[in-house]
Amino acid sequence: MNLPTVILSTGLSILFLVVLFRPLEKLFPAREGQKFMRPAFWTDLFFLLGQYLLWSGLVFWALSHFRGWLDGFVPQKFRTAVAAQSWWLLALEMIVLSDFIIYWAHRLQHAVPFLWRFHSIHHSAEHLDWLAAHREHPLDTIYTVGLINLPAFILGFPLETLAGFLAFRGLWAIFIHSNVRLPIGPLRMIIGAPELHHWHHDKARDAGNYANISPLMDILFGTYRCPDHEPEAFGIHEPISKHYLGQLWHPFRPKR
Amino acid sequence: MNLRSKLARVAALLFSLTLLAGYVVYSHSTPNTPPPDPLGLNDVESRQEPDPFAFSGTVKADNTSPSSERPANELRIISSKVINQPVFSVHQHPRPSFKALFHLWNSSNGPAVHYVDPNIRFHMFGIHLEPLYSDDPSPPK
Repeated sequence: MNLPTVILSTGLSILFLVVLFRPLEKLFPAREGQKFMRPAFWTDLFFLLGQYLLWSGLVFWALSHFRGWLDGFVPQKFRTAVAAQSWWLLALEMIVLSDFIIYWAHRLQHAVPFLWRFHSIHHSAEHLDWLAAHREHPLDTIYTVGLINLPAFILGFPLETLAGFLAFRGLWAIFIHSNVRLPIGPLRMIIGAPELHHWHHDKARDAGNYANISPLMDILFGTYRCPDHEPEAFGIHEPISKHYLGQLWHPFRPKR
Repeated sequence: MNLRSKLARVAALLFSLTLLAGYVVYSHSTPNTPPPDPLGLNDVESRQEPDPFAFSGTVKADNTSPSSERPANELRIISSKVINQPVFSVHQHPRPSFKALFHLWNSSNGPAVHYVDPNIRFHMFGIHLEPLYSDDPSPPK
């Protein structure tokens, strides 16, 4: 892709996300009165631009090699048999396996100081919305995306067949960060909702709701939290730079 | 809540759901493209492993072969908190094939010792290079 194409496609992507999420944030706000250009807007925009223009290539490259490295571990016949299943069964298996792995990987991010150094960047956002979803250290992204794709790579899931489902999953991951409170009733036990993930970002207490798309793992392992109101505040207690480059550098700073 | 705001909420919800559905359908039927590579990581790899490949750029709904059997640039990945590739990819239209000549100059043996004739085919974002080496100093016809 040449530079104008990349810039155009990034601009279209941002426009699409604004058009998709902004009306919901306006009409179903979790926090009344939060402006579009809220504090740290530019920091989060830099994170978004960094992902689209720079880091996605790194993540893609790392995963391509990761997949190639994993290819030798599982017999090809087994992969072919897995791929021959119906798409809905593949989707179900992928949700269960990916969510199981990412649930525990996510808990580790909160429990292991080295991993928290990177993951704390994502939690430093004090204003949640569609844009804050993109605040994530690129190495944290490689960790998360690598592990969530692990079962698919090992077992040989044909992700092209599930392309639409993957697209939905990607947008839903942004939606749960949006400034929206749109109760979906019992459905939230299956696909999760912003009201659950907002509590994961609560500043006042240790996070629960670690699961990715479905909160079933949280229910299973006792970390499901769903109070009937929004948290008082988001963010973390430890000091962290407010700026993009400072946050990128944060995990590498020597311990005090 | 008055009727007007109720209607606005319903309209916003339907609008967003329609966009979401449209995006899902678009993503399923449109080939993914490799993300931008400003760090030049793919170039480093291609120098180490010069095996060329062509990007077919199609998504087959009935494709049942495992992901590992496909070229690396058809890799789709599961997003987690972010979309890992642009929501929209601007696609280039296929262009006709053409040949390009590179005239290499070798100072020790005189000019035009080797001719490289790469057959470059543009199809979506894939480039297929087939270098042909020849000791014939005359340019290819």
